[in-house]
Amino acid sequence: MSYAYLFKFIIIGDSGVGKSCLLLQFTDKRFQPIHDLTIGVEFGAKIVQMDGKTIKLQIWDTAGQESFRSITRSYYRGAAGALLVYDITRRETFNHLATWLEDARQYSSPDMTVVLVGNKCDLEHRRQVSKEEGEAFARAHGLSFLETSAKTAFHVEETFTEAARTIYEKIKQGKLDLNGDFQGVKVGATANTIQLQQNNQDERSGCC
Amino acid sequence: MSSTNVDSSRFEDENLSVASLIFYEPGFWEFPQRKFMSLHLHKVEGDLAGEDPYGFVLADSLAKMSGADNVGSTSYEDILPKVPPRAARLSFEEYNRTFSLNKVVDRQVGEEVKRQLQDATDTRVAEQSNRIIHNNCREERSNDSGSFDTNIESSMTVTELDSDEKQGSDSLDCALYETDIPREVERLSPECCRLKELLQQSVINLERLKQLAWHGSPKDYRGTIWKILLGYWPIVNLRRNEVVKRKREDYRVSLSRAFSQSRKSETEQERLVWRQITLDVPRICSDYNLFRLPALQELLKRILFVWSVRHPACGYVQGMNDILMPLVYVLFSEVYQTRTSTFRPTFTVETESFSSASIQYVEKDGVLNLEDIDELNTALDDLEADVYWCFSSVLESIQDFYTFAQPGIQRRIQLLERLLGRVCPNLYGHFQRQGVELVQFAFRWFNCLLIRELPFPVVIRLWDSVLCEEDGFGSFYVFICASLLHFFEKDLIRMEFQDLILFLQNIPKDIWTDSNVKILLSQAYLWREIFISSKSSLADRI
Repeated sequence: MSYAYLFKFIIIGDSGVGKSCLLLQFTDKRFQPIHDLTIGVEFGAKIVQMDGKTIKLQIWDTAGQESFRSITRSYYRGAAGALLVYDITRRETFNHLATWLEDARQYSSPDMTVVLVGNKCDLEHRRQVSKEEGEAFARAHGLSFLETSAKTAFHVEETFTEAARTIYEKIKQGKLDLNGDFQGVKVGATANTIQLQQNNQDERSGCC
Repeated sequence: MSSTNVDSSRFEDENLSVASLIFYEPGFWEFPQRKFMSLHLHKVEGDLAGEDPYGFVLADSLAKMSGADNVGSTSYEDILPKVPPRAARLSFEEYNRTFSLNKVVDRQVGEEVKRQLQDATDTRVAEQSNRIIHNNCREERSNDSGSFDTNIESSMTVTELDSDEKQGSDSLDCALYETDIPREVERLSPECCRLKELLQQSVINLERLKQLAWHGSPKDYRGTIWKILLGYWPIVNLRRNEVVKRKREDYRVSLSRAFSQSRKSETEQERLVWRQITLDVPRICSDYNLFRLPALQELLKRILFVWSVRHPACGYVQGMNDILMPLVYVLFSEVYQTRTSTFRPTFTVETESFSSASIQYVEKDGVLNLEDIDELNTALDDLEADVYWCFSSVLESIQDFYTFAQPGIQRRIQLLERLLGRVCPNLYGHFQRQGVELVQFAFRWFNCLLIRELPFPVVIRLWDSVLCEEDGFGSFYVFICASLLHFFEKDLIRMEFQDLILFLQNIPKDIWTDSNVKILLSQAYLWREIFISSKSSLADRI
C-alpha cells in the first residue's frame, strides 16, 4: 500500500502500565484484560490519514522490565515518536518517568517527539497521580500530555494521532532533516506536495 | 505406506529438505539401509551442490544415525520416528467411530499378533506385549472363558479404555490391536513396552532412554522420563527415594529462607523481584485452567522467587514464567491423571501417529480441577519442589540468557543468523532486503523457548526430544528456530517487512500436526548433525 510517510514509534514506560493494551486498542480496537507479558519488543502497525495524506505508523511496543533495557534501547534510535506511559494508579510508575526520559534522550535522536501518557484513567477511584501532576511534568519537559484508558479506548486514537500530527507539522516546517541521520520517518511515493513546499521554503530562506 | 498426502505441497518445493525426504519417501521404511544412505547422499549432493564438504559430513552423520554408535540400537529406525500406523491416518472422530462400530475382534488378527510376537527377537518385548494384551482383554475373558480362539465382543470405547485404571496408554495402544493390522501392532506397541521396561530397570540406560524418548514420550511415562532426562531423578533406581527426599528438603529450606520474615539479608533487588513476580504471574495468559488456579499461581511465584534468590546473577526475567508451564503441566498431570480419567483430545488433528506421545494427548482441562486443589496439600509441596528442580535444571544450561544484557540470547541469535545464511540463503537474503533483523522476533523465541510461538501440546512434544539432546535448550534450540523459519519459508519469502514481523511474532498455531512437528524436529536434527556433530570445518563457521 502506498503511503506519503512512514513514522516509526516506540512505546516506553514501566512494566504493567498498559503499553501493550494501548497498542492493541489502537491497532485492533479491542481490550484484553490479561495481556501476556511483552518480551523484548512487539510490533504493531496502522494507517492514519492526515490532511488527506496516508501515513503509516509502525509501532514498537517495548518490554518494561529493566532486564530488557539493553535490547529495547536499540529501538530508540530509529524512532520518530515515543509514547512515554505511566499508570495513574501506581505512583512509582510516575516517579520513574524522569529516568525513562533521560534514557530516551540519550539513545534517541534529539528530534524525537515524545507524548506523555497517563494510562488507566478509567480507574478513577484508585488514582494516585493527579492530572495536574502529569500536566506539570509534561510542561517542564516540553512534552504533549494526555490521559488515556486502553480499556474504554478513551483518548487512545488521539494519543497516536497527536504524536503523528506533531511529527507531520515538523516535517511541513522543515524541522526534520529527512535526508540525513533521522531514521524515524520514511518518505513514501505520494509525499511530493509537502516536499515541494519544503523546497520552496529552503529557497526563500536562501534568498533572504 | 508413509503418508505422502499429509502435506504434499511441501514436496513440490525443489529445495525439498532431506528430513522431509526421509519421512516422506514412499516405501522408505522398507528400504535396506544402504539404499537409504546412497539415496539421500545423492539428494544432498544435488541440493547443496558445489560446496561439498556436505557429502562427507552427511555421510558421517548418517552413518551415526544409522546405528554405528547407538548403544543397543538395531537400525536407523530406532533413531528416526517410527512408521505411521494405518489407524493414525484416521481423524480422532473417524477412529472413534470405526472403533465403536467394529465390535468384533478379528480372530485372525489375534493369532497374527501372537505369531508376530513369537517371532520377535526380543523375547522380553514379546512377554511384555503379551501381558498387555492379556491385561486389556481381561474384561473379555471374564465374560467369555475363551481367549483369542473365540470371537470376542468388545464394546469398549476409547474413553472407557483410558479410564481403565492405570493402563492409560497401553490400553490405547491395545485399541489398535482390535482395529488394525498386525504390522502396526508390531511397530507401535513394543515402543511403549520397551520404554516401560527400560524405566523399570535398576540402572536406567540413559542413552537408550534418549533414543526412545526422542520420538516423543507416551503421556503416562512423560513425567518420569522428563525427571530422569533433566537429571532430577538418578538413573539408579534404588537411590531415587533418597535423592528426591534430600532435594525436596533442600527446596523447603531455601523456601523458608527466602520468605523468612526476619531475614536481614533481603536486598532491595530481591524486593523488586518479588514485586515484579507478583505483578507478572497473574498476567500469565493461558487457555489451560490449571494456570489460573490461585493455589497454582502462588506456587509459581514461590518457585520463581526462590530460583532468582539462588541465582542472583540472573535474578528474575520475564518469560521465565512461560518456561515453568510445560514442567508444571507434565509433572502435575503425571500425579493427577489417574483422578481425571475422561479422555478428551484438545483438538482434532490429522495425526500420523496414534501413539500417546501425540500432541492430541495434551489435554487442556484434564489435569486438575478447582475441587482437586483442596486435596493436594502435602502432595502439592512435593510437586512444588519437583517442579523447582526441573525448572532449575532447564535453566542451568541457559543462565546466560538471563544475565545482564542477556548475552546468551544475543549469541544464539547470531548463530541462528549464520545458520540461516547457510541453510536458507534465499530467505536470509529476503530478510536483509526487507530490513528484518532476526532479533526483532527471535529474541522472544529464545527468551521463552518458543512457548509463545507454538501451541502448548506442540511445545510439550518438542521438549520430549529437546530433553534427549545434549545441551538441548542452549544449542539444539538454535536449529529448531532455523527449522521453524524453514518450515514457513515459502510464505515468508513473499512478505514485506511489516507482514514479516507481524507473521513471525504471531506464528499461526492451527497448522500443527504430529507429522509437521516431526518435520520440524527432524530438520533441526539433521542440521545439527551437519553443523555441530561432525568434525568438519563447517562446524567452525556456525
